[in-house]
Amino acid sequence: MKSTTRAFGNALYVLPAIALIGLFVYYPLGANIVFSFFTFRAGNGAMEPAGFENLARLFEDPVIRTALWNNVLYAVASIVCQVFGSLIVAAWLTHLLGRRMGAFLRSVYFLPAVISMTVIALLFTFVFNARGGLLNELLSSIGLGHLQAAWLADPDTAMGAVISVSQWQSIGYVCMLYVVALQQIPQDYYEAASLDGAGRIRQFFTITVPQAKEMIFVAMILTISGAFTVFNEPYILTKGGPGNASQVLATYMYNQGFFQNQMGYASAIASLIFLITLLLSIVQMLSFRSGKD
Amino acid sequence: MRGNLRIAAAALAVAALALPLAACGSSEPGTNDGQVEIDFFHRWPNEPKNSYYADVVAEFEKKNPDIKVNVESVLNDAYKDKVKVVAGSANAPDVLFTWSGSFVNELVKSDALMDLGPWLEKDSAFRDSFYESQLTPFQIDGKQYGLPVGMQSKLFFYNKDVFEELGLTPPATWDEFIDVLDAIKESGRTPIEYGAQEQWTIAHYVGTLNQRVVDPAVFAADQDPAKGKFTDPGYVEALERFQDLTEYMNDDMTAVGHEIARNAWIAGDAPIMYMQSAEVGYFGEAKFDFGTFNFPAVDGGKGDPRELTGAPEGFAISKSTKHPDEAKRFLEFLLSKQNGIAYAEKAGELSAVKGAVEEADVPEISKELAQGIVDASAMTTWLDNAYDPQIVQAYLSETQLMLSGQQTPEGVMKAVQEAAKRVRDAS
Repeated sequence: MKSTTRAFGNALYVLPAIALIGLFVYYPLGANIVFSFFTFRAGNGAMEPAGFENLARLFEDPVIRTALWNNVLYAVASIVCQVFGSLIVAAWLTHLLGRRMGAFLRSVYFLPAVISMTVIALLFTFVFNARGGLLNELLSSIGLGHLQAAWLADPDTAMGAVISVSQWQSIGYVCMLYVVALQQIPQDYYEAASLDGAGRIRQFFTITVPQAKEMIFVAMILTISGAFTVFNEPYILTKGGPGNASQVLATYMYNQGFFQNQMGYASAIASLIFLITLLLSIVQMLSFRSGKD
Repeated sequence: MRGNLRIAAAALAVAALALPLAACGSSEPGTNDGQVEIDFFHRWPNEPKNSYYADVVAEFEKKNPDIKVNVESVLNDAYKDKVKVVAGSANAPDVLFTWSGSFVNELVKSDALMDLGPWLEKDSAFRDSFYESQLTPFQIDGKQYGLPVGMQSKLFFYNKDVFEELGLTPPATWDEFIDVLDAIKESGRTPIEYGAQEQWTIAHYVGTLNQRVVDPAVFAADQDPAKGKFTDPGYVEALERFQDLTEYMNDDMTAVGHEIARNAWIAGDAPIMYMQSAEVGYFGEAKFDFGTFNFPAVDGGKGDPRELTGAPEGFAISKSTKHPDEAKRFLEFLLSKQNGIAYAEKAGELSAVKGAVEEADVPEISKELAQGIVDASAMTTWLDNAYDPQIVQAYLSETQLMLSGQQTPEGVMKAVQEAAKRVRDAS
């Protein structure tokens, strides 16, 4: 009896949080899936049932393919740069540099993560500007003038330019996560390994990487789901243009919903994004079996 | 005793929390001292118009102490997105900015705007103070949903000094135009400055070319969402003409924003640029004489070459407004002749109130431009205001790819036809 009242009391404490999450996360999530089956406009309650029309259109729409491909590129670049690149930087910062220098450089790398994305994106429009932008000027001053491009305006380079901005910003953040993990690895392991004659690189792969596995997993989830929900960078830098060359799922969803006023189709795209991130998370959870060992 | 104290403290805390809430509640309906609050939403957080509207509002409040006007503003593209969401909602602004054509139509379809017809019938003097041609673009199914604040037209602005130096005159036909462009190119200059990074600039070129080339009956029929097919070969030809023109433009056009291009034109980089009448206000630093000419006739084109591309923009009243009378009083003040004159003088815009620009103390070119709009045989509305947003999106993004050399005119029209089919099916 006593334990049930206690359980009830405990539940009472959790209730507000559950109610809030339910109202602001799960209800919209469910409503969004329902909305995918309707045709409606913003600012007007009239909803017409559309059956599977919106979902069918997802498969026919060539822009969805472009956007999906761009998201995949985003994810691949993010894994290479943020998950693996950051780990190398973090190992370098914690093991190879002195305490002072390491702390200083940590802040330097972390700084971009605290600058607002809007500011960064505006900054990079100057870097990538075709007329006298920093990057083009740099290229011409080091004799690589033939590589100059209209970075954000050329359909071939726009997506790459947008992706590079995100990497620039996020490496420091993920790096910080790794630094925390690496500092918890007992120094004895490294000493023992070096006594056995293992070099720095061997130590990195046999001690650092396995010990940081949990954090690699966290970084993986963060960057991949981030890559499939990315919005700010492409929206501010290119608005998905030129044409639809740098459209990602989230910007295309926004464009459909708020520019073309196709709220039902936008909901269908939102459901697609949710499905993709959900599947990816499940796959990752299963493959890493985290939290147990 | 102690328990009582604690309860008292708790009660106080609750009261402290509730008080500001209560205050919010009472001011909401705007019954403070009998003062009514109305919300005004426009699209100019930038100068000079932001302060122009702030001044107008301050003056209105001084003359009407019983009304308080809350102003909110966001820029251009953001406005387009935001207004679609707030209009029609419970928090809809009472008086709001709108473009004419499909934009006002979108708002009407969302059931967000008040039919101003009955009011204007009673107050016919107010109605007659506007140029008739500027009222029609705000009519949907014969009902007046908006009133014009400014007239807009799109013209080629040219550098008179360069034209004089090369012995050129403003062209009227396509061949003359190409001759002029060739002559400028031979003199070692880029003939036309163009910034195509923002997609609406594409709408202006393509919209005009479509009107010049395509049969007027087909052109008008395609503006009806239920009928638009876009299968006329004229549309492809219009895009081919556009491609011809790009040969005479700066190579980096797709990477350049309109403002940067305009500054380059003002700096004298290229002698010709396609711009809006309202942009004259930015030409202050130009060190040369400038003139204008309308988009030349296109050979074999079926449209009237004397038509001028452009459309008025204006204001509307929310259908859900709780203070229709106050909103009307504000709108009437906002669009008075006196403010029309001030609008021309302070913001360089062409007021749609009869005689306002004529009487205003503005450069001669502004008066000529206003007269040009009043005299035009007809106005061609902006492409991005003429069609459903789905068609506009396909049209502009595919044409932008065409400018980067990754799409053909036929490919653009194929995408447009697909979008038009979706729109037809939905209506």
